[in-house]
Amino acid sequence: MNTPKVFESEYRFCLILWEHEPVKTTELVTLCQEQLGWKPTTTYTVIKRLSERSILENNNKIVTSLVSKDQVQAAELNEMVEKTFEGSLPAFIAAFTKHQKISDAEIDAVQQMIDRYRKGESK
Amino acid sequence: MSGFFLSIVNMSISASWIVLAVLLLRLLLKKAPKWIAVLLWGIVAVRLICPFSIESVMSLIPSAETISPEIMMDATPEINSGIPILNNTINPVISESFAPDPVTSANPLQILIPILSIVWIIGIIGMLLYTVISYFKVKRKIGTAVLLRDSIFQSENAVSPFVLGIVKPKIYLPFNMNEQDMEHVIAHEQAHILRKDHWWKPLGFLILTLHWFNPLMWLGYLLLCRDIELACDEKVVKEFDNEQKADYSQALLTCSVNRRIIAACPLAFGEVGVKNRVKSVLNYKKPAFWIVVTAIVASIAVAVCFLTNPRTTIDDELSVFIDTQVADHHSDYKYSHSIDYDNFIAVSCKILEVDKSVDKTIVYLWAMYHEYSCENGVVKLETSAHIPTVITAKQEGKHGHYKLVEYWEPHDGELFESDIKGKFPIHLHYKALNSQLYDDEQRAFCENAAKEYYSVSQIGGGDSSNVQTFESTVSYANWSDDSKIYIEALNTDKMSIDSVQHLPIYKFDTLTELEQFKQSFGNTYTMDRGWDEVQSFNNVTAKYDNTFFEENSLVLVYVGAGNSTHRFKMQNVGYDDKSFYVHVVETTNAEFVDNAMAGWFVTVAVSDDLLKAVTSFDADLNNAIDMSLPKYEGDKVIDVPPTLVVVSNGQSIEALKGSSYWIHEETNGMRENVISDSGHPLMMKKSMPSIDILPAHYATIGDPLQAKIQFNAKGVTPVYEVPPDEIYIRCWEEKHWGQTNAKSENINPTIVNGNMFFDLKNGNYIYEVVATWSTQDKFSGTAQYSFYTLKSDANSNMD
Repeated sequence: MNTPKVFESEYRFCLILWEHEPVKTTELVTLCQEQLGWKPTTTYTVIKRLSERSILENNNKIVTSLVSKDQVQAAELNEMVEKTFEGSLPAFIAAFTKHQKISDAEIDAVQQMIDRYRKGESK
Repeated sequence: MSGFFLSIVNMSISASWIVLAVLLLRLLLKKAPKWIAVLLWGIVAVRLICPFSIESVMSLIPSAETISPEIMMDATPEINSGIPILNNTINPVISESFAPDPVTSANPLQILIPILSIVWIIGIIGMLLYTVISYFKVKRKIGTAVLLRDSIFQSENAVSPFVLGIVKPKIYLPFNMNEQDMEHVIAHEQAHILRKDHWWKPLGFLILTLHWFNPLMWLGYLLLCRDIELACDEKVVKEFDNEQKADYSQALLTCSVNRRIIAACPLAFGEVGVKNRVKSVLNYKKPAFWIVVTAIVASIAVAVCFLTNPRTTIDDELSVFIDTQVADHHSDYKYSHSIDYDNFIAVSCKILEVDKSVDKTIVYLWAMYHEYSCENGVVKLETSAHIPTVITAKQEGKHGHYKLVEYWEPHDGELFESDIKGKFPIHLHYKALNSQLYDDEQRAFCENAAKEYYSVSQIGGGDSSNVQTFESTVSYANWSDDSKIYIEALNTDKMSIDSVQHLPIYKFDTLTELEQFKQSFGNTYTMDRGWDEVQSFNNVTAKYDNTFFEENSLVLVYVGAGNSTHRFKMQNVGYDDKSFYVHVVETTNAEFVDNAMAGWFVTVAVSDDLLKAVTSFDADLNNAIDMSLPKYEGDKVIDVPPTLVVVSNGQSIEALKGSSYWIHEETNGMRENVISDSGHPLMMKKSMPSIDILPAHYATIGDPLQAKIQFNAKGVTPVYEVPPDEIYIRCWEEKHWGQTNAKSENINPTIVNGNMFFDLKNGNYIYEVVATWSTQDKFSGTAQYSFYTLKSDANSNMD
């Protein structure tokens, strides 16, 4: 089995699961509501999504994990960050936001600005 | 829809001016706090969504209505940008390309504008759809966001921090931010929430949605977003020291390095222009007090100059022209009976709009015309008119004189409203149909002008022809068969003239004269006894002592009554330099009748000054029939044609009922049909009542030539007023008595507040009124009425 990949938020969910498993789905819903601020539907969605990826299994409303905390930690957490908003926007809106794209040169320039400011301040 | 679209376009165009002003001001106010810039965008927003705006002379908006709603109907479509050069360049092109095709006669804009409206609507729907879809998309992506604390969440789908939600805004942050950056970012986002930016920004986008066709608005929205971020940064770093500012800048930079593109979803907060922001954070200094003050003053100036529409102004040349036209039009109008005093004419024109095009100028206005006379220092309003008017003029050359093309006034009566609606542009209908809007203002103007002209401090209102108030009392006098009081009266020679009921009048210059009167009539009338609430003559006159008679006189009128339940009082006084006239009116219309005969003395205190040249005195009893009747209700049967009552100048008569055709419902539901035939009015002189036309100075109330007509259903309890559905009035000169084939002249009645009026001719005329009732369930029919007028010769008697 490949190293399972989970998102940060899913990892937070797994932390709760590992602590309480085996645990009833209803109980998980309550726990997630308290600790993650999730709506019940969100919890059910995540349970389903993770069981599809064989990270946990849901048997008769009892949830147990299929992977250990160590296994997940081994995988790089943020690798799978989706290009969330990119590409989903109509081009004409994107045109107005283009200038927000920041180039490396610009990053350097701004960084230098801050650094100079810090130095100037310490002088 | 086209109308709404055009008004949005007009708002957009006028708001464009303010966007330009704000752009300029932003540059000038670089040092000022950034929240002022946000405030300026608020002014733009108000202009963009607020259709009504106040007029002011300070307005810098060139034109509030660049594209008139009539452009679709116009033969030569034109715009009015308020900038002559622009108009002159654009209008020929517009007029040419959109001129109506002579064959199809349709102005192409009539087709084009509705199409554009639809495109506009589609655009709005598109933008709204985009907003809603992207909102739910984001909402779904951050469903798994994990609670950090309070209303702060973290999500791997949040590439950069933002605020989402209108009612309960939540802050969303990416994971893996370092502790220090995170605190700064949270501070920033919380500042957004405190500033209510999560309302202003979506509101701005909503307005942009309405004005999506205007590129300046896109620029405006973009800059608004920037200004909001800068204002927010400013709020956060206000209390920061230099190191904290550097840290904050670092956090800003870190956040923008991570992400590739902002959440352009308009409902969320993305970050804008990191370089600019860092710069302004690092350079932030508390703005000097004077800068803040200057900035606020500048903003207020922008608000005043751009939230108000240009006042409809007209140049002096045109203004004088309009006033002259109104004065000319009214002065030879119809009031030829005016006394030949040195009358003063005051004209007040309330300009509603000036429509200037290349070849003509149309001025929409409320014209008020007042003609005053002044006698013995008392200013009297002789005639007045207040009417919505449209004056079309042509200017000869660019700065030449104006020439009248058309002087337009609406017809009276039923046509009044439809005439105005046909002539005035739609946005002026309300103003043109509500005379009360400007009445006070214009009346005050005219009265002030008259006061100044005659250098007096008081002036009478339009309702009463007399300005001075006269102290008047009523006392009990009793009844007598003795005709002495009529014989010795000052007006004994006038007792039998006209159909007016004359009353004997006396005048006392001194206390002795008053005592002599008391002695002379002491045996005929009761001087020392009152009647119910009415005091005795002695009691009432006790206060008139020698001091009173030094500068005043007492005028006395006797009115005898068939029974003591009737009461009377002075109604009004009419006078000029030679004559003095007292009108007495009955105040009680008692249903209970006792048989005690009675009589009353009515006294009026008058200054000697006013009477110094008066040689003729007269008094009359205004026995006007009570006209305040309830309006007919639909369930009553009226079995005979109503009675026509004509009231003019304090007199009232029942017109002669002539031929009629009347159908009414019987109690058993059957219809009863009554036809009555009568001779031609010109053959009926003997049985026809007459009404006197009194000289102007006898006028009790308002215009002496105005007659009110009312149809009363007699024989029904209570008596109803039954307005007819149709009415025709015609008249003949008196020389045509007996000539049934003589030509008649038609007269149009006017209806004011449900009351019917028409203008009597100033002379001896025979009038016929034919009224038809056709819309009632319980009755219908047509009836003919007649009466005639006699021009009073009382004037010559008195002179």
